[in-house]
Amino acid sequence: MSWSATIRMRLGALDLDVDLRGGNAPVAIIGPNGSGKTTLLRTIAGAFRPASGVIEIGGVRVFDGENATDLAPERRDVGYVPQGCGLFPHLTALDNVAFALIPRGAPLAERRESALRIMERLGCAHLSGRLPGSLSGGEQQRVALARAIACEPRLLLLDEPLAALDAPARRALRTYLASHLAEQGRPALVVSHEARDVYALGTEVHVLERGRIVQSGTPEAVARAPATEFVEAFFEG
Amino acid sequence: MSYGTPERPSDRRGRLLLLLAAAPILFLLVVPLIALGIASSPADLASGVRSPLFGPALWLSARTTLITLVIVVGTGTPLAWWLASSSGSGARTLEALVDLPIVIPPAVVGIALLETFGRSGLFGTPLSALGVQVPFTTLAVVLAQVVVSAPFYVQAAVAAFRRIDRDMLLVARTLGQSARGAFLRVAVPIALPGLVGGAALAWARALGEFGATLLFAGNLPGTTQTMPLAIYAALESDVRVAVALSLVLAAVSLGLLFALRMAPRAWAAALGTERRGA
Repeated sequence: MSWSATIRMRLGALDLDVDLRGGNAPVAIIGPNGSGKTTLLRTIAGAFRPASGVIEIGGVRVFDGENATDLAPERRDVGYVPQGCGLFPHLTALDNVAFALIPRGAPLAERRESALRIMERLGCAHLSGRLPGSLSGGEQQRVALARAIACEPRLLLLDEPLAALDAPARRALRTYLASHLAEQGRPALVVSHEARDVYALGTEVHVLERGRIVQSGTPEAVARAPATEFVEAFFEG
Repeated sequence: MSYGTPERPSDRRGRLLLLLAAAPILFLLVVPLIALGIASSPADLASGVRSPLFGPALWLSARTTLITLVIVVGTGTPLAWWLASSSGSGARTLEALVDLPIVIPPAVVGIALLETFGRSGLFGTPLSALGVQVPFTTLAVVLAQVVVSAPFYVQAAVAAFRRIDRDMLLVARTLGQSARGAFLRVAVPIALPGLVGGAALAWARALGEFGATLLFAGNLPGTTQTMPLAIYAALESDVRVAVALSLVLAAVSLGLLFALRMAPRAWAAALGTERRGA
């Protein structure tokens, strides 16, 4: 499976102009605050309509500025985990995951059973009965990842999955994410703001600054020859 | 806010002064209700309830306010959702317009409704051609209640919908829900405490509606004489009936207020903790 996104758009003060592609391995996106990372993910998910460009996910053209192709988010087959996870506060962890299976039309009991199996696979079945408000940040991320994977997306969009975690939780989730994403063999676009996360996750990293990709490559290569001050500071820290 | 530390004496004096300054308003808020509660003996109350004014007014109020509530929630919810998810100046203007009936005196609303649906009003000619009379009917009672109560619901619903994280709705969409599905399965359940609170406020306002109803619908027993109008009518004949009616209205309103205060807390408790920051 592969994906590509050529996006040109203006949103408030942000002028986004990117050309990205990826295969079955996760791709990391780094960049300073306000560089357009979150807008990029939201646009691929279908929240905003670019002025021009083409977005292809798993061989399906979900957006094409040339011919008015613009699939709704529910038809793009992406799994989106926003900053803060976006778990539905009124549903238990299990029902959050089962929510992703609603379009299959199975009865609730069956959906819950499938959801529990997915949570078992991701090692978070023990959280199934809990409400999101009672979960720690790391636990929320696991449930959110299980929910995003449940509908078998062709592209995972993870926005700062490791932010707002304390150091031990961060280490644990970093290893967890890296191994599960590798095991899934599923394309993923992961926004990150720490070098260690990028080393653990990404076979490839793209640096986004003021809406433009300013450098791309393996984390090692990018760290060796930083193109901007931000990149230098990022890999130094 | 309490930090759980003992208060300094000077702070305590300051807080006592504040309370003292507030005493007159507290007196006015609480004492009349107590006076109402102890005004009549149980025998007086029983005779009030048996009055021919009581039953029809109670039934009419219950019926009309429930219809009003259905109309307000049914039409106010989509409006609130639209207002909460639009950012244009048109939406801001419309939002201000929706709030108008809160500041406009009910008597003015009554006259405005007469000028709209009355015989010589804006729609008077077509309505009478169709043989439809709106003023001084039960329909007029409902219309007056809808106008004065809708802003309370819409305001609360807009605020509740605005608090919903937009990303959460995008997540629901990526999980296969249409815009409608995301609204019904995610936005409404999350906003529910706010929606219920707004509906309760709107219902209380509709239940107490007097001025617009009197001018637009009149005071006809059984047709347009709701509880507040029956109190007004009873005052001229038998104060005991007025007090009995008032006590019932006050009890219902207190019940609503209690539900209003408790519902969000119960909801938060049901969700485990207070909602975390977005």
